[in-house]
Amino acid sequence: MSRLDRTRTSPHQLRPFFSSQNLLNRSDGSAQFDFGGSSVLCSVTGPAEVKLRDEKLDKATLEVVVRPLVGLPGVKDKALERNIRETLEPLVLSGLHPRTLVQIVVQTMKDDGSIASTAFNAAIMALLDAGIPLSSILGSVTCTIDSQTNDILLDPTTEELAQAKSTHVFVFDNKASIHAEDKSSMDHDQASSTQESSSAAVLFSDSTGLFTEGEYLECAHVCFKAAQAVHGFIRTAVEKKLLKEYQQTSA
Amino acid sequence: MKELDSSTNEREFLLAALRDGARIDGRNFYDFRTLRLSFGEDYGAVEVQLGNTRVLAKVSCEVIRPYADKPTEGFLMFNTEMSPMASTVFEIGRPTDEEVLVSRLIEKAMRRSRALDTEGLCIVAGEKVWSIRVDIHFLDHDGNLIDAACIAAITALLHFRRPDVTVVGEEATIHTLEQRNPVPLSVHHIPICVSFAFFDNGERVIVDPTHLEEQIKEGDMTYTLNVHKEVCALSKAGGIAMELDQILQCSKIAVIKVAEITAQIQAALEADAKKR
Amino acid sequence: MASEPTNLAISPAFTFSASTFQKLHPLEYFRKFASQGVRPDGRLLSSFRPTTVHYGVITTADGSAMVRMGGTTVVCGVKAEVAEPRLHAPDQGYLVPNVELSPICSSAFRPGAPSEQAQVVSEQIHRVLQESKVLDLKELCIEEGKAVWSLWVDVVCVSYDGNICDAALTSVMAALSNVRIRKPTYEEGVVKVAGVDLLDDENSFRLNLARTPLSVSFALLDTDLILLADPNSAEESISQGQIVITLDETGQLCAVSKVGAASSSQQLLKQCIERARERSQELRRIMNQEQ
Repeated sequence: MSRLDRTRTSPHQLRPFFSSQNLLNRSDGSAQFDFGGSSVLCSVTGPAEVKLRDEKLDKATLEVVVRPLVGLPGVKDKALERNIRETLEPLVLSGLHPRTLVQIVVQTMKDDGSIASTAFNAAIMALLDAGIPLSSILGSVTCTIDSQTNDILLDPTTEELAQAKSTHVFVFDNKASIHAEDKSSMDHDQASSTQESSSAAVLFSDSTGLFTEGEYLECAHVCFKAAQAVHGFIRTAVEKKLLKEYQQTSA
Repeated sequence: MKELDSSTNEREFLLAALRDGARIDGRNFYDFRTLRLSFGEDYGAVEVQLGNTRVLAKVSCEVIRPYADKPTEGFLMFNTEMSPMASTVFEIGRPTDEEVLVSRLIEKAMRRSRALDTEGLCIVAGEKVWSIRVDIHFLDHDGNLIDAACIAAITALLHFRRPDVTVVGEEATIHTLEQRNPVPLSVHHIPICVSFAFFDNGERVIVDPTHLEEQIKEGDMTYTLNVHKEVCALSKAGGIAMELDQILQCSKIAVIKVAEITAQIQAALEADAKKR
Repeated sequence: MASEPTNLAISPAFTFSASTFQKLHPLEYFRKFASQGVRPDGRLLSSFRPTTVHYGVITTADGSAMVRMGGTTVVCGVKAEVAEPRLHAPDQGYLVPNVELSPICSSAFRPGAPSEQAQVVSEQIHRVLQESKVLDLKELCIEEGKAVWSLWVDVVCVSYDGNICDAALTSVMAALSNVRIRKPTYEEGVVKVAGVDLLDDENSFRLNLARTPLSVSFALLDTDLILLADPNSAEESISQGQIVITLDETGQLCAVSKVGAASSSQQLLKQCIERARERSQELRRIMNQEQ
């Protein structure tokens, strides 16, 4: 089955994705994440001075600013700001930097669907680049259910979103897979059951449209599998970056 | 967040270097930093890198009703709101003086110089006109935001294609990009901003200041010219007093710079057109 | 060094009254209750607050409803205005929901520009109405390209005690079902709406709602993910995340959102959907009783 964007052959295929870090000079960390024709640039500043009214005595304050490509920020962007902030809050080890501000600015550079997922992935890459301590990383994937064929289409383009019956954005952290790895060294049988039950533990989920419970769980499953590729990618990016830094310091 | 002033050492070093006829990034006084233009897959999306300064411009259009008193005039709007991405001094909803200056100068340079033919944006008089919107996003601030934003805006307008329209009587049909090749906007001329910074009571004049140079400068001036040597705007807001000769001298430098930059924009546009 | 903590534990120097304890350690206070399976307001972890719905509470609006969920009270009014349609959708009207959280309902809100929470709830309602295709906007057309109805759906929170999301959406759906608009006539560019006092099926029409989505919210507490149905504002302030399930009358899902807190298993989400299914039935029963 061919997709509307004609470059993909399978409904469960992501568009080619890539990312580059440390692009901006004035912020402490930055990253750009691309899913095919969608691209989001994200900058992170922090830990920095926090405004008195935002100050938290026992942890860092997280602030997220979302900037749309066209027009002034609206309620949609406000909702995305809140979603990104509340999803990152449990991940950032904010207790290590009390009474400071970690500011994340998300700027859409190209919009061809799945912007929320692209933004989530860009944000985590930027946080890693800025060296903000994190308890785990996340990976986000969007899917839609097509109104005509009822197929689950991963990483939809704008055109595919317009034809969708429902849209599902998922974010998964890499804790589930880490636990499974830990356990597998101890006990094989237990590990497989743990993996089964915790496989699609959802960090963030946002679905709209019309869909059944079965469809929702199926989407979660498909997106979870795809998110593993994103996790792997982020991991490799971090490894490469550390290796480079190590080589530079030891040279 | 408040910005830290440059340190005394930085200031002394920069000034000493200028007195020796050198700039700390190795440029000559009248050199621009390397200008890079990259285009997105869509029409009207341009990213400009001027040294470490980065600006993204995105042009979009929609059909709206014109004002009753100007039934044949289309709209041209600029959005230059700055986000903390470029620098933490920019806060959402609280424009800094710099932000206000930049947005006003871009308005003047682009709109008031009539760079774009707004009458040509009319579809059906009194009923439908095009509204062209230019969103300018400042991504990285290493000085001279004005020139970078101006280059980004005009290049994006030149690069942009709007959907074709056929009008039969009062009925207008808008063709999608698949149905018919989109059409470019009619741009009358290409205004380019060239910014100067002055040191030592105007004795030393440099173009395209970096962020550090902007922090230390004593005065500034921005010429907006087109390749036909027509002045579209001239802004010298405050700073030290300048001799008229110096201002005329600057205009001569600006003319040369404008010709260079215009040629580079056109070359980039041609290279991109070939790829499509 | 090792003996110090035991000394402290024995020392009777600090004793608090329950209300002081609640103020000092709201989370710990709540946990003490939660470990016994109850909440400080006497509810079980999974029970909802008493809910009432009243229709037609604002006589000047074209449709209205008031919803009470425990201490949270919201009023929703729908106002129909004749407007010019958008150029690219000449036969579609407007449906504009807006939620207002003003200082009148809680000291947590400040006057001025709408807070982030108000904007987020407005956007949630807007998306549910639009994405679940609740109302065909073509039904609001009076004359194509010339005039359409614009429905302003304004939700005002009168008293805030948590879970604004469920209360607001319930009030919006109730108010929309309560709407009666006078039939307009269109002649030579002028829309005339007859000024009759008594509205009946002859001179007015009701909205043809394709479905009635209702949301059910749960707060997520702590890293061990304790689920609190229909949280009040004290519970919201100590919770780290929330799960909102929106269903229509056939049990079809209209929206699922899980924001904040640690990863939750699919088991937990299934449990929420199950509970939401029962609760939305109950809400529907309450809505229908009043009508």
